[in-house]
Amino acid sequence: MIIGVILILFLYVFFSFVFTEQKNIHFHVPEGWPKPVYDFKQNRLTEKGFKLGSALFFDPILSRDNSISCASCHLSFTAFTHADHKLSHGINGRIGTRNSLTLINLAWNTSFMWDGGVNNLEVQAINPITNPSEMNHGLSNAVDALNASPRYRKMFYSVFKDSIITSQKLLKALAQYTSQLVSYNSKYDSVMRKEKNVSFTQNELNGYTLFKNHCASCHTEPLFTNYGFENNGLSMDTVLKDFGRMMITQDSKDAFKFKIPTLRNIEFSAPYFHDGRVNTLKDVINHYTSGIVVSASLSKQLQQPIILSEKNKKDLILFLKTLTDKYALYNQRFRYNYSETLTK
Amino acid sequence: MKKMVCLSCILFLLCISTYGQMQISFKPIFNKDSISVLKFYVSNVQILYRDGTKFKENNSFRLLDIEYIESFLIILNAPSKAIEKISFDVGIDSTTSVSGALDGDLDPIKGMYWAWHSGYINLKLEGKSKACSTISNEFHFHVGGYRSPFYALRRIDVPIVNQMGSSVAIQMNIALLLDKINLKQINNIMLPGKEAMQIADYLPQIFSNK
Ligand code: HEC
Ligand code: HEC
Repeated sequence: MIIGVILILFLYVFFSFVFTEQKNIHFHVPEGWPKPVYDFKQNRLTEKGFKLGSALFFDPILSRDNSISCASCHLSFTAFTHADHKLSHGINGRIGTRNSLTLINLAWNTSFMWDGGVNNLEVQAINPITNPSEMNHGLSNAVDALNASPRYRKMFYSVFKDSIITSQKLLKALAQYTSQLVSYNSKYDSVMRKEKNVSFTQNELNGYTLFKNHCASCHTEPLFTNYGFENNGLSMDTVLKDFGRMMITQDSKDAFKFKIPTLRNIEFSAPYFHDGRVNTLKDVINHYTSGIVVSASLSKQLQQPIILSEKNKKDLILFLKTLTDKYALYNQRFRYNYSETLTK
Repeated sequence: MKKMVCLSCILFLLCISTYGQMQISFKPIFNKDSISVLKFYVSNVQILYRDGTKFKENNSFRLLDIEYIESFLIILNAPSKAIEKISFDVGIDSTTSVSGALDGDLDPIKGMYWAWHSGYINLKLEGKSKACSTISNEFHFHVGGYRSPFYALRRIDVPIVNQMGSSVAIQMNIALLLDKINLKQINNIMLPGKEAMQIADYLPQIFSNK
């Protein structure tokens, strides 16, 4: 009798495994990179999951009046940021208070948003879906809208083996997509990997040395951020009065500190800084050489002015451009319509 | 084989005899102040029996919401024996708070989640009191926070003196809580911080079994 029970149990486990198992996608971690922070064990990557996430990312169904999608503010060919708009526009033309962030290598992020207020990639997406100045849509409305769509019910079923869509499934599906927006194939990466026929020019090399001296303590390789919060000397915007990190920690020492952003694909993610106040990399460098505003929380590294000749400034920018990853920017997999290839 | 069957039967009987059910009902006590919202999380319930044994429910999170009064009755698959003490957390621990998108009572749709500074609201209490200096006499307390130094979860220990078979009532004295808060000065808390910590500190004093 016991043998019978064991046999039945075994068969049950075996069949449920066979029927629910989908081919998992392996998340590649480049050599020498730290371990990702995002816990893929709680959200096994599958091709169908990625496609579902991609469909959601490009679909205005998540906004109340079906006018904008995640991609409206995070476009792939502008490094997943909102080009030409200083402060990302949302529904009804309302302006958010911050510049859109680049969506790249998010699996390594220890926190999200300019103030680091969000602690996990999955729950980040609640913000655009519920923030009045973004998609203006309650999370439950979004879930209802998806449940009312036979197409989405089918897609969710094929991924989660459950036809009832919950906010958890919506958020995990989005994270399947956003966590896989990776960049590690820039010229910089090729040079570091010592690939054949790739090397820095003399100017880029000089830029790289300057970068290591003046910038890398915060924009640390290989992700070009150490994920800390710093005040890099921007003057306070008197209209927005954004206190940054202090709004999360309630600690006045954190006033005007913001998350150190990655510089990958920086060539294409203008405008720059949390409020999008400058448009070119030249302006960014000039900020560091001659625009630093001294205040109580100003970073130690920036207390002494950084002095760069015009040539050195140019070289530094040339180096920053080696962080451009054409493969990531033009990857078909990241594009709209990729989800159309979804098979039942 | 026969022996084995016998043994399994005995084990089975043993299980159903001790694993009965315990019912814990939360009874809010109000005074004249009108309460419009009372929602809070009860998690990781633990029972200490008089015979020294323990029952523990790990990773269990229950949202009690006065709008759905049935949620104030908690049913546990725990042995029905004489109880010494019942312990539970009011709120969500920090590990759970950083675990991404969650389901069931932890679904952010339940309205107990802050989106822009991630984290659960452990306790929501809203209503009206003459003591409030606000125009409409309203107070709004959204108490939560998992980051130190503003970790607002509180462990509550309730010594049990009054048990009716398999059910126990726990009084939650909202009137006392509102008495303790200086409503004139503190009537609107929407963020983790010092004030939220103060309210959290009062929580262990308002639960009792009489
Ligand atoms: C109206 C424009 C807008 C829309 C629509 C929008 N975002 Fe964003 N996104 C932003 C802005 C602005 C920020 C930075 C916000 C802040 O720091 O407060 C941001 C930040 C993020 C971040 C954090 C990145 C980091 O490194 O910290 C992620 C992830 C993200 N968005 C994903 C999404 C997803 C997924 C959607 C769709 C569900 C979406 N966004 C819709 C404007 C938008
Ligand atoms: C003390 C730490 C620190 C140092 C050193 C530092 N940065 Fe930054 N950097 C930051 C922070 C913080 C921000 C975000 C500031 C904001 O928007 O409020 C930033 C933003 C930027 C941005 C804009 C990114 C975006 O997506 O908008 C660029 C480009 C940049 N830094 C380049 C550099 C360069 C080049 C250097 C060296 C000359 C440098 N940084 C040195 C901390 C630092």
